[in-house]
Amino acid sequence: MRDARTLVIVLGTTAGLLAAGAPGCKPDFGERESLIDRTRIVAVRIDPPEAEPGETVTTSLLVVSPSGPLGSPPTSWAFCATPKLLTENGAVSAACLANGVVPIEDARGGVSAALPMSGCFDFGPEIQSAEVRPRDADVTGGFFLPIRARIAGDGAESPIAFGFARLVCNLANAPAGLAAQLRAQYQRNRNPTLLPIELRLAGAASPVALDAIPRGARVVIRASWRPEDVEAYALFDVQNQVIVTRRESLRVSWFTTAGSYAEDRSGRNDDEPESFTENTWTAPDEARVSHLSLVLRDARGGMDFATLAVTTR
Amino acid sequence: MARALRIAASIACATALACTVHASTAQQRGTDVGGQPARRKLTKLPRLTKLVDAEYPPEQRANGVEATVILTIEISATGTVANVTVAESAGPDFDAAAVAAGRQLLFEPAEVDDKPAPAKITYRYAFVLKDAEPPPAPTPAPALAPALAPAPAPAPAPAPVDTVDVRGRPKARRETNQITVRAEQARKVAGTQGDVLKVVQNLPGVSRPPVASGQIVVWGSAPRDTRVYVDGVDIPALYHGSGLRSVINSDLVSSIDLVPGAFGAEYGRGLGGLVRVETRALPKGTHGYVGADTLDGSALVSTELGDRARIAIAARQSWLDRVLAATSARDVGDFFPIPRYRDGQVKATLDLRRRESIDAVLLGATDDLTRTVPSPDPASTRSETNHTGFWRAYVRYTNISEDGNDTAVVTPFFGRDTSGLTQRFGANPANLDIDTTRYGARASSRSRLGSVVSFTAGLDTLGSNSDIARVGSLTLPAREGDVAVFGQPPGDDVAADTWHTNILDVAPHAHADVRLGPVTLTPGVRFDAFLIEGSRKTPRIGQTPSIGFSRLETAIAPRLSARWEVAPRLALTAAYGTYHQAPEPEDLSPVFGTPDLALSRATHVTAGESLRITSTLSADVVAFDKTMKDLVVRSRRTNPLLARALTQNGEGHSYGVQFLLRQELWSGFFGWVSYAISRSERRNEGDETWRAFDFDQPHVLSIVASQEIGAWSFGARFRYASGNPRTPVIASSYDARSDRYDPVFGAQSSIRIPAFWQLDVRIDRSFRLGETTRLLLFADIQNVTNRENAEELIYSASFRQRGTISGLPTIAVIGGRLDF
Repeated sequence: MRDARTLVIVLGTTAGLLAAGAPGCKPDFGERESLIDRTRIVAVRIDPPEAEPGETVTTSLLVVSPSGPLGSPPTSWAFCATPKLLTENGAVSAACLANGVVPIEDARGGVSAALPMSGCFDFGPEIQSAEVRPRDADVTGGFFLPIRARIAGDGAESPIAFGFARLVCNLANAPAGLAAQLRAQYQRNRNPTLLPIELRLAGAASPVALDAIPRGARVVIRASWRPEDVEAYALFDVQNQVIVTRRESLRVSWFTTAGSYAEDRSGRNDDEPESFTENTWTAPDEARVSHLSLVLRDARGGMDFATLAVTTR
Repeated sequence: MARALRIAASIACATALACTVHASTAQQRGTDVGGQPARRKLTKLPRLTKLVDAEYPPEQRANGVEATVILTIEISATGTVANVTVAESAGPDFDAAAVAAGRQLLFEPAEVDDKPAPAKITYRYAFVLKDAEPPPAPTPAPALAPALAPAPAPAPAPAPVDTVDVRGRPKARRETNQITVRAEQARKVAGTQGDVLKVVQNLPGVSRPPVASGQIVVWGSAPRDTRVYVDGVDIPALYHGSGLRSVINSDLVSSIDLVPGAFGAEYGRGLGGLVRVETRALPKGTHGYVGADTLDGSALVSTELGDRARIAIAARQSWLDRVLAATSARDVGDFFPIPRYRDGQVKATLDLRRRESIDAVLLGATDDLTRTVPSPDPASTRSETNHTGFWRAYVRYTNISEDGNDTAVVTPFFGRDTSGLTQRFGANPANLDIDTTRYGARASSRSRLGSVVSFTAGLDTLGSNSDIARVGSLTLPAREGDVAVFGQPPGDDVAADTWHTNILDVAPHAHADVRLGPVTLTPGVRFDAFLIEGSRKTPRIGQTPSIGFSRLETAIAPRLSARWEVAPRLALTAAYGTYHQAPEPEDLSPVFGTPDLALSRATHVTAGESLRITSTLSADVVAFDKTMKDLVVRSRRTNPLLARALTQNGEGHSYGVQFLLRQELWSGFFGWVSYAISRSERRNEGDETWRAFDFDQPHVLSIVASQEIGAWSFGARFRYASGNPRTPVIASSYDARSDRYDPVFGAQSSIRIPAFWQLDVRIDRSFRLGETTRLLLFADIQNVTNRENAEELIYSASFRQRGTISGLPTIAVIGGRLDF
């Protein structure tokens, strides 16, 4: 007969970790997106931001160099004419960096031009044959026509940026009734407007003079917009096949030629009621003029920008 | 009550008939390393001339504990015992007693072609208590199956292990290009943290997976093209999502087979290779362990349920994510996501009759990962929730005829795979949920037809019903061939679809093993009939009823392998086969994929040689060539046709040579050096040039060594691998709407991540805490040189600078286990 046995299990083990220094996996490139260390296009504004093919839009851009905004630099403008492949993560086809464009004109600053009539076929959901797969909208239900801006930069470098005109197109892959409902409900996007920028020293309640900022001071900068800039818009929810209403989020990109920001970007999500965002800028430790640039963007491609010069003493 | 002791010992191969059969089987099965030299005819079995009783461990006897130890005994050409190893442990005290007795045995040597020759046998010591019975001399245990494999004469020591399981369960057929590692060895390989299945990553032909990845890339095939089977039942992955652990408890594993390609007719549905895991026969008595290390904690207990039934239960829970969070930099989790994993297994065995048994097994594993990268910028906030899991329940019925000539195995199974991925890049969602029910059966019958031919016929069926929901960009998840950089957000296009698929494959197959003198041919054929059904042929529009599809895809897959025993120590091998693979259910979406996808196809051709330098040292070379057709790739049209986002224009080609120098266990040492030089390429039909496959690694070198000295064991592993191809960024443009730079790419796959090399070491020490208890402590130190290996290329935000993400530094995984 076998004796009954009771197993007593004792955890007699040890566990530990010896790491030769905490792993720092990501290289530090020492590159802050908010620091202007070369001539850069930081904004391309389309006005109106949303239009039908054939309607005229006006472009403008914000170009900043380490010495400050460049005003209206010579710019080559072109409509991108080549849709990107499904396999491309980027916003535009690589061909639009080369010859896959329709030139608009060379100008100082912005231009006005009519959007190509083929926009909704090339970049939107409209199809010329039922055999073709309609393009998918972005998360706001939008389709965008890239507009290329190229300027002469530092040395041989020619910065290229793409602005995006939001297209008003017919809805694809939706029942006719929903498409009509959307067209009736939808309000075209408008560019938001940056309100006057407020600066105050960290911990202080009153504004600080732009020409008397102490060296190395921490300055809280508030960017505000009008409450009506947070627009509600109708959207075809492809997942549930219904029309829903969403609210825009807004975000601000911060740039400076000297000093440093706490954040490169900040903003408000679509569920946040505030109509401002703040960032902390640390002034340089020298007496100089610093150029601050702010670009306000809404979720549907609308944009505004502003610049200001501050002096540290 | 008086106690009596009976120690039973048996040479498993008790009859000449059985041994002759076994020798022939060994010839047909090929070898561990791609083909061993031919064996000549076994003309005489080794015969035991001196039987030595094993001393019953006193405490075990006092406690009434019975056990069985299976030994592998190498017998020299003079009949003395050259080496004894434990094949199946019953605990340290029983093992020690059995080994001590086994070393003293004497035999009349085996003879091959009427000349004395070394041999290797499986030998059992059964420690059995009987009431009121005086201690008898050891006696054979007739219930055991034959198990003997003679060595190729005149080698001084034995051939590779080739045993019939003591429970009467047949081993899977050995493939021409199969590499087998027994669990006892795999456990001691450095860098595996004692996980026997992780040894697969160090075998020839296997590319080094990216860190924190459990992908298996063999001979240039895509990870999802390689199938993983446990006891013949397919499971979705061998490893948990991090690749840190396998999904099956190591103590339930008997052996691991890797077949990188050109496998036989019993398997299909995959264009790549095979990984076969055999679960272990459950021992008598009550055994188990409790273990813990830096990665996780686990436990197993097995016990008898009466005389004919045994059961084992195992479970594991990870905690590495919490350990890393407490000890390392915050961004480690961003680049090397460590999911929280858990797994469990239950195995029960019922011996119906001699050589007839039923195993019932339940396997399950889950991985969960949640991480968020917050940002004050709504567009920069990222979050990810990932869940994967599976379970399988199967019953395996085995029947082996009394003479060992006929074998029947039937394995019906049922299970479920689930995966849920929810990501958010700013406001852009990406969801992919897949819920698949799997069912099927594998059945085979093998019969020996005379002395020349054995014939196997079988049926392999697998059905899968999948419910899939996906939202997001077409570019996420990424596919092989996508051009992107690490960390790049997916496209901002959003599509959505829900669909259902039903894929059923019924595949009868047959093969014969024909021995014609020194040549063994194994012709085979497999017929796959795939029923492919889907709920939606075109994208959903409103409430319009969907139109489904159903079609039958068939494929005939001939297979042939040959082995020519050129000389006693040298064999040449060759194998050929065609392979087919059904489309993945997630590719059959009319929105994200193409419902009309057909089968992908591949042809494998291999040729090799195997040289046995000594009885335990072998050198093998295998050249391989794989061609792949009709691979599923993305449409290159700027406006793809409706429900044609994917096409089957992909072609693949991989070729290379792998070398393996392997030392089997000898005086406590084992190890191997493997090196593969290969090239794997892809292109679309009509392309003039090939590009490197995303996982192409032209050079992969692994050196593994382990030495046991008393209670200590030392191991080391060195790995070198070429870096995976990447597409360089040559410029960038500014996306003023998203406020980010987009990369401009150069020639696809024209650069590589810097090469990887790493040295790992392992030390373990066992302590006897009692007659039935043993404590094992180990330190598995990875990257002992603290080399900063590049794991990925990464760019600055403007793409003006390029750097690398480095892998993990020196890390010691320290742990232990208590065996009882």
